[in-house]
Amino acid sequence: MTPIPGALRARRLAGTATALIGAVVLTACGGAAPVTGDDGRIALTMATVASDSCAQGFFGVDQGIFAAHGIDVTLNVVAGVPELAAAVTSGQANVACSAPTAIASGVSQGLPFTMIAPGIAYTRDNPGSNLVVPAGSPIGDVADLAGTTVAVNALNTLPHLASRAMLQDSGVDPESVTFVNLPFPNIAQAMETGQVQSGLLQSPFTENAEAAGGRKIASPYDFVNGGEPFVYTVWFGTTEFAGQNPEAVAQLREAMAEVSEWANDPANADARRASLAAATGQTAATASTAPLSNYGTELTPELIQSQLDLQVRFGTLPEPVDAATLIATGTS
Amino acid sequence: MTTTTPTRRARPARNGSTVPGWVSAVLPVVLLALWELAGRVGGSVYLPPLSRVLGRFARDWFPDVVVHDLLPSLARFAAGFVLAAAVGIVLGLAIGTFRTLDDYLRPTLEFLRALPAVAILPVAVFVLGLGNAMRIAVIVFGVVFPVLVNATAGARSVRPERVDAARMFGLSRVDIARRVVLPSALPMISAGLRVALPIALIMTVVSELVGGQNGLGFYLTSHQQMFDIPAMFTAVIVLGVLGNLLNAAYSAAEDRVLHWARHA
Repeated sequence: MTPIPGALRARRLAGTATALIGAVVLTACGGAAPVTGDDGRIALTMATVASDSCAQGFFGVDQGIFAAHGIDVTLNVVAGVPELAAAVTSGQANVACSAPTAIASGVSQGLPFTMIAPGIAYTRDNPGSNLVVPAGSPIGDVADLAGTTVAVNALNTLPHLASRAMLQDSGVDPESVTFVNLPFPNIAQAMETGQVQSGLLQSPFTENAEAAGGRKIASPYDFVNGGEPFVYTVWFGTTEFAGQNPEAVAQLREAMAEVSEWANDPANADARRASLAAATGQTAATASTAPLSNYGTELTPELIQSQLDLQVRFGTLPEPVDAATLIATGTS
Repeated sequence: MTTTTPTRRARPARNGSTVPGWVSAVLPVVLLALWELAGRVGGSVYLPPLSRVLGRFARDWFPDVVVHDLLPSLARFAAGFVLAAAVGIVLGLAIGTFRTLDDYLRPTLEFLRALPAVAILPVAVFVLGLGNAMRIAVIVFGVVFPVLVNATAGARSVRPERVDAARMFGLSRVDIARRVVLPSALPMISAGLRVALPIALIMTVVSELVGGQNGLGFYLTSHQQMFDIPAMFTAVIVLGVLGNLLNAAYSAAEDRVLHWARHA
């Protein structure tokens, strides 16, 4: 290869470096544009995961509820929860579904997130998340968990924090229990092979574990808000998106409330299960037995605050956060 | 032993380049300066200025993160690398020396070698659980094949007349392997170890992504989940510096131990 003269090479290197940095900055600053077209219709890209916890997107599209509210939705299904935040921050999606605790963590780190509409709501009779032990386990109640290993799907998220609150409130030192993070599909096998003694599972993994002889011993979410309802998944976007599109935020909020009412109506259970089965690739048998989540119809600070307080209690938020500051205003 | 006197002819500028050595330091410095500038001017939370990342590093890493995450990672890295090197060298020399062994093992080893090392992670979790045994096994799996392949090739590259001469002197096959084959194969084995070094670091991080309690991989993902971007960058920088330090340390050790090989 012919040697490149030094000056020319230095210039080329500088040019390449500038282009690289420029690309990084441009990517990082991906802006939000208005989503309402000239015809008044709203075009939204929504990122979600294929599970019941964030399934309103599928129901709203399948039932034509978004379209009836003037919103044309493109669904962007991603593999896991971390990708949801990435989809919003990179501008690939206008809104996505995630946990309020994740939003609060992001905001405390300076990320411009704001909550727009509720996802799943906890109720005492439908807690959503259960601590399950395998068949033949000597663990009978929460007090027996001391000295054992518990699997959760992600550390420092609500399942983990709620479990720590449950231990503490039940008189067990949370430090005496080891928590490990494992993907939901791996938790049951980890219990069967004795690597963990219990796992925090959600539907349909809870039902699968029970079918294999597992037992539910507690629902840690009972310890989040004193057994009172709270919303533990939400639809969120960037503050820039919400600021530039207040009408879209208001419209989406109304549409999502209607989706939730439709989904919560027992008369629509079969249609809902069919939508879910198609979206998640579950067999009809699994989809027909899994209990259905209850979706929230409104997003108030009271439905969020207890989770943020739990984050402060266990040190994953550095200082108290007022839930009201995390909810987009929008105009109706 | 002979000494060589460096001359312009004997030691031209690296790779024939006429550019002085300090030029190679310009690009990293420029990139780091641009990072700082982009972080300050852009004001983006996704690209915090370098100074903020370094400040975070100084605040968090000593001694907490070093003790809780860096040292466990280094221990796993060392255990995995040494174990894989031992297995790879012994097996590689044996395969390179004994043709029959090669015939028996080759199809199996070729199959395993073609497996992407990260694909072994879910299997290792089921078989070995979530402890250090699983993590070290994953590192060994990633590291052993480059060492083994080079050790085999090194053993085959031994000149037959050396082996014949050793045999004439009555050395046993094991002695021939130890005293003739191993020294001849060392330069190639060393090249394999050098290739394996960054792989060991990669596999260390990968092994800590699942079911982790500590380690650099665990630190990286747990801070990603909490959107702690400056902390994520500290781990990325540490991994980059660590990779370079390990490589430099290995080169220095190689220069001391294998200096004779260059004149062989």
